[in-house]
Order: sequence, then structure tokens, then C-alpha cells
Amino acid sequence: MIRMLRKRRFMRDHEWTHEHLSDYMDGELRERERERVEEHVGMCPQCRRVLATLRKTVAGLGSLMSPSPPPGLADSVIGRLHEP
Amino acid sequence: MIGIGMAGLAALGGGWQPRGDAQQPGAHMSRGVAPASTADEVLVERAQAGDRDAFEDLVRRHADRLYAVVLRFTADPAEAEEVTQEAFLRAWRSIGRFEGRSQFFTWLYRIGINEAKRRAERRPAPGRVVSLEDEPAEEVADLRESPEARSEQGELRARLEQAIRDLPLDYRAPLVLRDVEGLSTAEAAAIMDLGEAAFKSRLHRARLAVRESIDQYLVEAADQ
Repeated sequence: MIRMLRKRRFMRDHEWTHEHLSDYMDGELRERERERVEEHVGMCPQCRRVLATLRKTVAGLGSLMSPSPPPGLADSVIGRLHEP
Repeated sequence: MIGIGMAGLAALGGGWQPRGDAQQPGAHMSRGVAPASTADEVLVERAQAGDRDAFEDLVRRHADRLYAVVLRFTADPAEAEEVTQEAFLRAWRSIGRFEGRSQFFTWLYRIGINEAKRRAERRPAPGRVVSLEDEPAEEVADLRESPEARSEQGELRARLEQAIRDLPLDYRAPLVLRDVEGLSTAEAAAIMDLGEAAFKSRLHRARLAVRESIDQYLVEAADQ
């Protein structure tokens, strides 16, 4: 019985954690919520892996290069503003 | 040619700080440009009073970054330039209606992204991933075929760029604004005219989808 309840709680925490990993990474959870994530991640290899790869993904996105604008972009816009 | 990344350059909470390379030489640059310290709000007020020079300063300040954002929603650089021009034209025409409840760049980006999305929706649907529920495209084999062909970083970036392009537009925007451009959740949600809860939900879905597309690469890279 206790085992079943633990499993049910684990699954509840698993789903909740999976939904809130971004909020956790972004520091947008309250303390109790953060602890809930950390406690679950500590015992769930799957969520640990998702969190680790999500972090790498977001870090990778932040390191993407900005495409260079075409030369004279602002002037071309200003030129359009001057058109009748 | 590739410029520097913008994430981290965004002046969070205080509007964009003008970059030193924002000015382009040209026929319209003979007059003095507003000092970098002049706040957007001041230029907007002057523009609302009919001062076109003030609006041109806003163009010089924001054009490059707006272009970089809309390029991720358009088919090619030429269309991104058109969208950038169109966004500023619309902003100039309706500057009198800008109430200043958000920052100027928030308002401008909303105009630009909406214009880019409007054009994207008119294009034929891509034959690739269009739903976040779909399985990710099986491109990992390509990576395995030539692991030494490109550097790991270059490969990861290419895969990330493709994963971004594969996202539906409503999910692409949160990801681009928050994770690529480095805006805060509040700023990015305001640009999309979404509540923060809805914005965060889309952002999380988008991140999971991108992660899914590069997951095997991340594992392989970690194993090496």
C-alpha cells in the first residue's frame, strides 16, 4: 500500500517537474516548488537527463550568432520614410 | 558574415542600448545623431511631435536588431529587410497612437513579428515539422555520416537553427525572443501580447521540441 502511494506520488511529481523544468531553470519558481523539482530530479534519472539537456539547449540558443544586417539597412529604411 | 550574438547585449529592463556599429554611412547621416544616452522615450516624444529626425534616430538604434529577429521568421534576408522597412513605416505612421505603456522596442518588435508572421502564413506550408506533437525529424544520420566535416559547435548551431525554423511560428517567437535575443520573460510576453503563464508554457514546449531535435547530438557530444 505504502509502495503504491509512493509510486503515485512519484508519478505526480514526475509530471509536474517535467512541466516546470523551464521555470526552474529560469529561476521563476517559489522556494517550495524549487525544492519539489530538486527532490524529484535527485531520484529520477529521466528528469535529470531532460534538465541537463534542456540547459545545454538553452545555452546553445543563447550562443547563436546574430546574422549581420545588410549594409545600409537603417539608411534604406530612412529612405523609405522619405518616399512620398 | 556573422555578427556578434545579441543575447546578453540586450539591456534588460531598460531598453536596447545602442551599439557602436549601429550607424551606417549614407546620405541621411549628415545631421547630428542623438547621443547614445538619449532615451528612447525622449526620441519617441519628439517623433510624436512630428520630429522625423528623432524617429530616424530610433531607426538607426533598432534596425539591425529588428532585422536579426524578423530574419528568423522570414524566408530569406531580402524578405527580412522588407519586413524591417515595413515595420518602421508602420511605426512612423502610427507613432501618435503609441501610448508608452510598453517600451518602444517592445511595440516595434510586435509590429515586426506580426508582419513577418503574416507573410509566413501566406507562404505554402513547409513539408516538415508543423506540430510540436510530431516526432522530430530524423536527421541524426546526417550527423553520423560526416562527424568530422564540421566543427562540433558549427554543427550544433546549424542543428539549432534548423530546429528553430521547424517550430510553428507561435512557439518560435517565445524561443527566439527569450533564449536567442535574451529578453526577459516579461518583455518577450509583452511583445507577443501574451500573459506570462501562457508565454512560459509556449516557451517550455518550444524548448522541449528543440531539445528533442538535438538530443542525440547532445548525448553523442557528451559521450565523446
